[in-house]
Amino acid sequence: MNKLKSFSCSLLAIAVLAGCQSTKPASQTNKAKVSNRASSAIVAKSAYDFSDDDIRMPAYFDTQGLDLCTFEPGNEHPDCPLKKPIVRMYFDGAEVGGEGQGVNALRAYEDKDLLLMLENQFAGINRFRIVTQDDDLIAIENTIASAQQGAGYVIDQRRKQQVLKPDYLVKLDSLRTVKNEGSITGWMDYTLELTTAVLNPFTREKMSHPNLGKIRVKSEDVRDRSELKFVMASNRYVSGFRYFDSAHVNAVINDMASRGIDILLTRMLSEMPATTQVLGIKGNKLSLDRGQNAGVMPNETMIVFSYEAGFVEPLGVAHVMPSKNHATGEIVRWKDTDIADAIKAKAEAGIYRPGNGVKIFAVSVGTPADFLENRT
Amino acid sequence: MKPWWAVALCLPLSAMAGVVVNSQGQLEVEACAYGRGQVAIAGARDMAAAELAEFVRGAKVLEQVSGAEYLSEADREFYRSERQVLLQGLSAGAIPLSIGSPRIQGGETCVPVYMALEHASDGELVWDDESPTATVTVMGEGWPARGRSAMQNAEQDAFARAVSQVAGVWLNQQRSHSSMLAMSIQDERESNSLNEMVGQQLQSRTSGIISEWQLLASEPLSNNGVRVTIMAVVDKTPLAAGIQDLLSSVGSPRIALVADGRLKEEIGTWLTGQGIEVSDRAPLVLETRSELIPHGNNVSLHISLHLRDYTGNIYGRWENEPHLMTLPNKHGVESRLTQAHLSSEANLESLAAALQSAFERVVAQGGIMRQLRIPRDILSQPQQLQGLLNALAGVKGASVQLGDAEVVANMRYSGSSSDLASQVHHMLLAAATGPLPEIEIRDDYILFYR
Repeated sequence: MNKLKSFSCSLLAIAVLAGCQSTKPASQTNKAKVSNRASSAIVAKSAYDFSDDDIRMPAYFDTQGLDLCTFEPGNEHPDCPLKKPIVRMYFDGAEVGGEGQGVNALRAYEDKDLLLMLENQFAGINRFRIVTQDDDLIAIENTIASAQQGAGYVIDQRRKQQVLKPDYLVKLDSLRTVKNEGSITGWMDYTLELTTAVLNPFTREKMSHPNLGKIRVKSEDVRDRSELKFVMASNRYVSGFRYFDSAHVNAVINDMASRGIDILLTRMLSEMPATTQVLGIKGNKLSLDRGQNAGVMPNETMIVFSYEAGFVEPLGVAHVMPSKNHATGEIVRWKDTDIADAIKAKAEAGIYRPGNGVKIFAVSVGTPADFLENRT
Repeated sequence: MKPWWAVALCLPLSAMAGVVVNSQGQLEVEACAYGRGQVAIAGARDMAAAELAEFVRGAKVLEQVSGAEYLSEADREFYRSERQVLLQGLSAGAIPLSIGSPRIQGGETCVPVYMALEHASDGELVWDDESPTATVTVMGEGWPARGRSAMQNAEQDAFARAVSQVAGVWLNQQRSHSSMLAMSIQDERESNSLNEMVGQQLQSRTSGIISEWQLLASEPLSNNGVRVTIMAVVDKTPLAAGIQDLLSSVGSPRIALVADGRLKEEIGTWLTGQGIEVSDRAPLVLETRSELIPHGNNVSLHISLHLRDYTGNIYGRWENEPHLMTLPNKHGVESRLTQAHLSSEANLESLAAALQSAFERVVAQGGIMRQLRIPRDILSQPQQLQGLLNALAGVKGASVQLGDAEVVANMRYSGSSSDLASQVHHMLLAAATGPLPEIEIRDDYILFYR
């Protein structure tokens, strides 16, 4: 019996040792293809379309309260979440080098108006305070205001309301390329690539955040291929798309840039989501401590979560509407968890106000579902 | 039982606040105002104060208020007897109200406001006690000279110091409290030397300014000198009048303007409006420059001015802020920008302050620079000229260059050129080799003998 025992022990030991030796090499990475497909916009689902599994935490939420805020935009505490970086924006339409069919027209490209469009669109999402570069407009306004109010008055007002001093520069680098395909009947194929840099002009540091990646727009995203077709005979243009005419080419490039900026905006809204603190929950209704001033947009889809000792628990998904400095929302779906059930029960009995070290926040999921339709 | 705030949310704002007594025995009320930040907090505080006043005005007995058990008997008694005083104090904003930490409720900001009853009873008023005189204790030193005893000179020295000390206090006070003098000397050294200068200038008038004095101590010094300690009572009114006379004479010297075109016209008109006489040749020169700065399709204008004397000492400078106005680059833009910058109230105020400060600096350094030119053969001992000039009353920092044919002396003098000319002439009568020709004045700063 003893022999049998020792034999079975040895077998066990061998099996354990064999088990140790049979480890495979770790597999933590996969090979992936580098895509050169056109980028697409990603927007939040409506809160009404969320399932229970969808109620998870999005990235980049911020649980900073408003305790330090002065609520004066010109004199906001550096740690207040309402303090937005002041930026000046640049659009760099890089030179197009080389020679070839349609290259000259692509080179003659005016990016000033695109910059102003960029400023307008970025100002609307309220993530930055933007110092405009529209100097011509300001100079014309100075002339008119001086004629109407007196030049001295204009200067004194300018002195009182100092021009904003940028903390950062936001620069869009663009790369424009063209190729043509076909022989007698050919078509132009334009590509625009946009990258964004946020940099500190004083230290020259390019900031890691927000990182909007690269956006690629192809002419086929904005024009049917048939619109860019042309006919050549004896190496001469006969009819079709006027690829050598900068006005026609600019029309295409502008549409592409405009699409690129829209995609950029949606990425910015995912990268810098709006976080607000929940002051109270009454039934399904939410009262939030900040609104438009923190960049909350109409029809925002927000994940409501509790925050305690560094841990977050998603409670539900809400449809939120902002007012100037606060927001109200409705929890469309509560997450099926005990914590959410407990809070839901308290909120049904009256107004539930978070306390005892528990804080409740709501963070936006990304670009509101109707943003692209209504704002771009 | 619903919590109180659930009920409160259903009520209009005016009925929301309820006055309670907190555990510190203070009356407490919370009010909310729409918005965020200081404006909303101030609004909520005012509403709470109004709520408190409403409560005090109403005939509600304090004992019925929630938390009344925290009130001391003295508080209750005070409230019963002094309600009218409390009410007046609240409406006049004289009763200190303390504010608790604000909290955000929806679009509103709510703050609790506390009124302590015992604090309300001792309303402290601080009266600015402005005495017409100032008493100072100063020391003075003197030696027998100019036909006066050492004691008399020491007393005069002490009086001058007493006046200078009070004048300094007065000037500093004016600098911090009044824009009347538009003083802008930032540098303490210059400020002290201005005080000293004013003290010296007022020396001759000490008798009217020092209303009484008392000798506290005296001790002998070497060379028959004496050091006295006196307590002097300085009358502030004649002192202030004296300083103002002095400063107003400083504020309107004659200056030469160097400028072009529209700038000359604008600045010249403005200077005349300020009571400053503009002349082609004057001891002080206001030099102006303007330069167009292009920004793309637009331009701005940089204007700079500095006040200097003929030897190149710069007393003050002023620059505009070009970025405040850019205009499209069209014909006549320079003229329009010049006119724009010089029609700004704030620019003209800062320009006036810069000039005033420059003029004060001239005084602080001992007056305007003057030049004396004398043919060398007139003087018996040209080497002694520097010492003689420095000994003249009001002359400071004389320097002499001995040329082959001519002796040129530069010096600062705080009075007018004709006063200086007469002093110099009298002094030279004794030092000249023979009879002196008449002394002449050119451009208000060059004194010369033909």
